[in-house]
Amino acid sequence: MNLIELIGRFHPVLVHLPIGIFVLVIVMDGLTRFDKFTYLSASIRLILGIGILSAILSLVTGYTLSLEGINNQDLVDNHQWTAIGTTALFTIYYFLRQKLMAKRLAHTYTLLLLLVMLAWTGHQGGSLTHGEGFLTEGTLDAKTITAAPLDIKDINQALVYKDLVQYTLNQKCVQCHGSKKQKGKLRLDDLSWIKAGGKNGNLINTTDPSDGELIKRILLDDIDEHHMPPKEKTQLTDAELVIFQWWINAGASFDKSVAALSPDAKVIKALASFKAENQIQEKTIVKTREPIDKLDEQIKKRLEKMGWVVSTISLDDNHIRLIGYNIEGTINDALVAAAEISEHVIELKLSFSALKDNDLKNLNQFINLEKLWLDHTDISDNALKQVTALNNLGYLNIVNTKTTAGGVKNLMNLPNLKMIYLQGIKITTDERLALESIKTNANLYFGDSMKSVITDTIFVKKAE
Amino acid sequence: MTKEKIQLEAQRTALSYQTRRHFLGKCRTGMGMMAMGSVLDSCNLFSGNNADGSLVSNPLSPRAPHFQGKAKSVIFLHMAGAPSQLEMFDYKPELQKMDGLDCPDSFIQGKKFAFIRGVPKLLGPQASFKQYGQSGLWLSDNLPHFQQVIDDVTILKAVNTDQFNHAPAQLLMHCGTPRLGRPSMGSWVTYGLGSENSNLPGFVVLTSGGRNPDAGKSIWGSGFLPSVYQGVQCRSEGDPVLFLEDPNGFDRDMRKASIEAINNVNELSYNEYKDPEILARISQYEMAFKMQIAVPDVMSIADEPAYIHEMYGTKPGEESFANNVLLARKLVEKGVRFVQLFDWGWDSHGTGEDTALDKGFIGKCLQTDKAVSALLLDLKQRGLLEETLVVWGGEFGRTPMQENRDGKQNSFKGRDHHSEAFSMWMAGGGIKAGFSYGETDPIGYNAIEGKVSVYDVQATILKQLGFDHEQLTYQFQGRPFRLTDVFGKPIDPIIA
Repeated sequence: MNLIELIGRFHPVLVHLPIGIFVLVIVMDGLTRFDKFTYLSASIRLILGIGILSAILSLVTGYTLSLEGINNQDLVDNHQWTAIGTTALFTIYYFLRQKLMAKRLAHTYTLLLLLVMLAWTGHQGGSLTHGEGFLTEGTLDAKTITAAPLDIKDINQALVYKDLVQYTLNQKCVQCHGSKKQKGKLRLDDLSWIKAGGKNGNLINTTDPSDGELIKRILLDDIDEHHMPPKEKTQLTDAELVIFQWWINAGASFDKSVAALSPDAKVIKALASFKAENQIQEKTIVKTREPIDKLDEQIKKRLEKMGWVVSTISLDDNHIRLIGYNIEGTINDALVAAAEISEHVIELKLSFSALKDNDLKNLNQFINLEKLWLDHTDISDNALKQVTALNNLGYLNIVNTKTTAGGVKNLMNLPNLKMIYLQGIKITTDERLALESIKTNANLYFGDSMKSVITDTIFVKKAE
Repeated sequence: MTKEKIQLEAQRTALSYQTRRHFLGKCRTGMGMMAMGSVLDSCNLFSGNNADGSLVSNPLSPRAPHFQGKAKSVIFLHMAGAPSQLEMFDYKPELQKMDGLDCPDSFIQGKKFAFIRGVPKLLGPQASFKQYGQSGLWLSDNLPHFQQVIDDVTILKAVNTDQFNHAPAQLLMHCGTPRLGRPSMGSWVTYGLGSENSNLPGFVVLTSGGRNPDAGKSIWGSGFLPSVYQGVQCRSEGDPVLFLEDPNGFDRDMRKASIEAINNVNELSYNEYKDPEILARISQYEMAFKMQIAVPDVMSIADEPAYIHEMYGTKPGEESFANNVLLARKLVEKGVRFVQLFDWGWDSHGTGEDTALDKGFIGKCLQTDKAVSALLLDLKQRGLLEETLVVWGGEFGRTPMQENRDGKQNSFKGRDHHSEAFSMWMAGGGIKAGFSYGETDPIGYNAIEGKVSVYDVQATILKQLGFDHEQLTYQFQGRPFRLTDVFGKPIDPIIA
């Protein structure tokens, strides 16, 4: 950075001097109307003079800053001329103040005019640094940029630039390269800006398409610091990358339709998934769990002492997966103790334990259970009766138990049950058919063996 | 040594801590060490994802992951030596047409190969392919059983690595770097999630094929993580874990008493020195004691019913891949977090009959195909596949060119090491079923679509277990380390 640029960079600091001083002048000047404050009149000339000096200083630094070049040249020009105008007005006021004081009404209007000019100049400056619309963001215009789902009926008639490229830019780029912010002095919210390019030059290279800044940035490996969008932001999908490459290689025209750019098979595939990704999709209702408080450490320690393995679902979800491979003492005692946290437990694993039917008497207290393993134990149909109370249960594993088809049948009414694993249970073919004919959401896994292929012949045949 | 002598020594040692010499010595180095300690901070266990700080009690007690993971355990089937994707999953009819032609210059210019020199000839697929299942995925006839489970797996056809020799490539696959010293994936996972069964190790390693993988035991080592997280190698023949049996005349109560005494002493030294390795030692002694009962039980396949043996092709008592696969299922069923299998003998260079693609390689395929297919089917029917992520792969792939070692055509049909693109598959644990991701060019040399790196595979495995691979870190030598170094992103298109 050279010295001129350095001076320019002081502009954002210096401008606050004239703004503050001029406001002070206007307030003081207004107050001199009241007898109590007439004494202020003597100071105003001096303060106004200092204010004008600082304003000139701001103009100089502002001009040098504008030499650096900024993408929003119109706004800069406007800001420059209103600033010069405002400074000029204050200077004129400096000389004409004595005369104006005599005419009260003219004086009042002059002060108001000065205030408006000052505010307008300041606002323009603010828009340059913070982005247009910063002031009213979230209050006046609640429009956000990412909303609209894609509305294309026939993808072949869609305009490549307007409906696909600009659509994607609006979704994923204009937050930082748009009207509010212009990182790298680049705007992507309209084709005139896109043609203009940014700090690092042209976005699209017409002679060598693969060398354009836009395509290079989006294709860079995402660990590269020049990769766009930045790593922590939403990335372009594979389909979008294909479409961008195709559009740019085909000359980056701003008015052609999809059909006019003759997409190849790869692009057609990408177009289809682009459409699918962006169209309004029927929202699948994801059942979320009620949040629950963190498990008390003392209770956790107590359960662990009994041999339970107490596993928290995740850092954001305090529900518990409770595992009982190594329970010391009877399962009954362990389950009675665990009932204290019954609402926490959503997964309960009693596989390979010394579980008996009677141990499960309080199973119905575990109302939030989603997954239950009772496999490789001696339980019978009596135990399954306790399971019928678990309305949230989605997964049940009773592999290698003494349960029968009759007990399993009672479970079929459970509203959320998706999977029952039954391998190793004595079920006749007729019983199996009967179970399979029941209308239910649950998938039954009876445990079919694998078809064995005699492989010796393959080897011999090939070796010959 | 007599009792008096021991007591005398203990007294002397205790007194030596109160001498002026000891005091001055500690003053000199002690101040420096205090300063160093604050700089290095390397004994700060679990600074990456601590949450509760409950580690002091048991380093293997389960901990909450970043989000709810679909998979709770992993079975990683590593075919050491790198199987040929072109004879298993990646069907290239174009390559068949170009069989015997010189490899185009553009493919070999500036490339380095392990053994290929000069201009090699292209080698067409040495197997016939067909589409199978609802998914219509291509499979070679070398895998006659796998077609029955093809609709449960996602095949990654364009995995890329940057290593073309076995040891570094294996290290990269398991430890996230081609150099020694980093913890393996199984160690990271047990460090992150703990274990669900305190009587068994959280991370078990089983090897077959007659040799250990080239990278040695460091690919299941714990690196700078506390050694309690390292893989425990179990043998499928003889005693599963060596030196676990009590010696003659030494009963279980006496063993228990001696371990308790040792642990008490270790606890005292932990309180004095705060070295996390002492904690690791304490829990390893405790685990070894529990394992004496639990391990022989879980590691015995003799009690499995006949139809299971028939299905897997297992024979109790021998050291075989099939036996290891069945053991993997049994271990996962009992709550082991990470089961790592290595099967040696896949390095099909074509230098001899056993490494020929049309001879020994088919033998390797047939040795493993049945057991692997049985594993997927068995896991699915026992309700285990939902929570078990099965990963299959080698450390790299094999070239579309026939190997010409030192410029001379090898006597048998074989392929050299190939790093640009190779196939792996994943199944269960929330991965899409009956899906194929990635594509190679018509001769199977480069990835042209859906190219993923080894780091991406690792990030995906961690994601399925509930981890953001960028957040699962361990503070060591002044900076946080992670499995995927600074690379990788989860392969979201293959996640169901």
